[in-house]
Amino acid sequence: MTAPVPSADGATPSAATCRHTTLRAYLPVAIAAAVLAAVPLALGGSGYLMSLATTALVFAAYAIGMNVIFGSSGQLFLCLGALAGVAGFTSVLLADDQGWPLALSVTTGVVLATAIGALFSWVAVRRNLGVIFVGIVTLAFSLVFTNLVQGLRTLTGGETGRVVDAGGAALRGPISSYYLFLGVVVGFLALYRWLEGSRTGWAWRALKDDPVAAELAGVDVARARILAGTIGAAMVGLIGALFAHHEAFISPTSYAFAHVDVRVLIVIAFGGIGSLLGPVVGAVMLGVIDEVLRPLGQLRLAVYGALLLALFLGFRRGVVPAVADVVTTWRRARTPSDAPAAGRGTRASKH
Amino acid sequence: MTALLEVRGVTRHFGGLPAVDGIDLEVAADEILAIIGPNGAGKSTLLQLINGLLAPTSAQRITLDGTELLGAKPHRIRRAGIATVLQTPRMFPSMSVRENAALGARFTGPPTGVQEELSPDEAAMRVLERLGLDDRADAAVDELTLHDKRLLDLARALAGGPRLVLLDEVMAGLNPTEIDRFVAVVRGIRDDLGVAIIWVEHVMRAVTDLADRVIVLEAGRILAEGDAVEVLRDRRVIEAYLGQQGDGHAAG
Repeated sequence: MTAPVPSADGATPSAATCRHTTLRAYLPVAIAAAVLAAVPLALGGSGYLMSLATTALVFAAYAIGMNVIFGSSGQLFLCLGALAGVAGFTSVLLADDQGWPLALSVTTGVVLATAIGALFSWVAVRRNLGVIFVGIVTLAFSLVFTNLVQGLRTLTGGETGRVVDAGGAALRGPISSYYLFLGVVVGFLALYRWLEGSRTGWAWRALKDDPVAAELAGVDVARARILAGTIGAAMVGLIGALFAHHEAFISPTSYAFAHVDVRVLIVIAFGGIGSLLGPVVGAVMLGVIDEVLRPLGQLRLAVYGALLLALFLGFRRGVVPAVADVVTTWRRARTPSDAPAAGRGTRASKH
Repeated sequence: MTALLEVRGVTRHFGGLPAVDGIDLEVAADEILAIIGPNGAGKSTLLQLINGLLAPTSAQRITLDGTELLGAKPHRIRRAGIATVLQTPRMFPSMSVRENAALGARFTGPPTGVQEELSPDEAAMRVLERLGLDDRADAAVDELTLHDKRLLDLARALAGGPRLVLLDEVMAGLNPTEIDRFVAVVRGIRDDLGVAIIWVEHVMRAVTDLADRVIVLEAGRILAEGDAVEVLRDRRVIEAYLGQQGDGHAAG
């Protein structure tokens, strides 16, 4: 048998070690926060570079939301842009046209996006829709949303969009808005990590492996799926609303399928579906690719499509996990491992 | 006998044909009830009607200790105390052996016969020790043999503290030594933990060894019921079922 050697003492972990492991689980989040917090220092106050960095954070946050919805429970929501847009337009209309306080209008937008996400999840669970059908239904919603925004010209400014007044200095300043979105990303990462270790996280892991076995083990699969859709939609809605006030401008383009969903899928494909820091790494990669491809103009979209295909065909689990695997194998090959040597030893002693 | 499980008038049709046709049965709190019958007799369908994976076409009631379970989803039925081990072991491949067992304790539990409060991992280790899988707790599930996968499935069931376990042909595909080991394990669960068992099985040797009572199904109906040895001598049973399979099985 090649079973790994269990801890020899066989002692049950004490409360102190449990707490220790809990804190250690958040270490990657803390490291990511520290590294990202130092980015403005490195970029030396360049407004342009800071706006690129902020965009990367926005896409990291979208991707974490997608990780909750798709990565955790396998629901392929192809309406992240639309959910973000629902929150964005709601918030802008309430704040600018109705004079609502910013916090209240953002919250209302988020609540509406959350409700729609929950509804899609509920329908998908009730009708027992497979991955592809969830994808088709939510993609249809994306198209309806774009058309709706373009049609309601007097409210939304149609295809050209409209200027957004509401939004304080914190949301608009290049440095302050970077830290604001960083706060959101770190909050999302911490929430994601906490969820992973919770009962809900175990329910997601189980139902992704085998929904029937999960039900038979006592997991309320329907509830776990709807919870994933709801939490993920809330995350996406929050970023969508904040983004509109940050940009000081809102248009259907900012939330278009090609602009949000396709790019989030690239981010996820790079970083790995269901990995904690994958969204951050993927979003940074996307930012770099964006800059490299800038001269191509509209053609960039075609390149993104091709990239997405290549990533999903070549790296099912994501580039980062694949590279991590290669590195681990390489390191294992380099360092003389104890286990095989011990195995040889016992075999030799038998003879 | 006071019944732990009571099933009344349960019927399930597939495309108009009855797979299970108005079945009544009762199981006592520490009983091992074997259900046998030819292929297509409705044995597995009956188990799936009890654990909620299938909804009956019609039924009067399915109660566990008086609690109505008719129409409840499988996870509710599991939490109420009925666990299932299917013929094809259902594993969570992304989890280790320990995590697989612990999952049973995360959503239900505590394990039967355990009084103190245990973390899911501790509960899992208790059950894995009982079933002799503790030395492979950190292994990946695809390293396990079929026999050990079935044991792990059973471990997950026990970690959630069931009062009744449904076993669906868990001896299928095992070699004689493994069958003996599994029979001992199942007997231990009933004798030590007082867990009742409904057991669909084709391996007659195991049935005569273990079962307190046997029900023979044919075409969705109960053909015979009673003590294992008597039932297996029943002329109708031999004609309907055992005759098809040769004398080796009838001799038991």
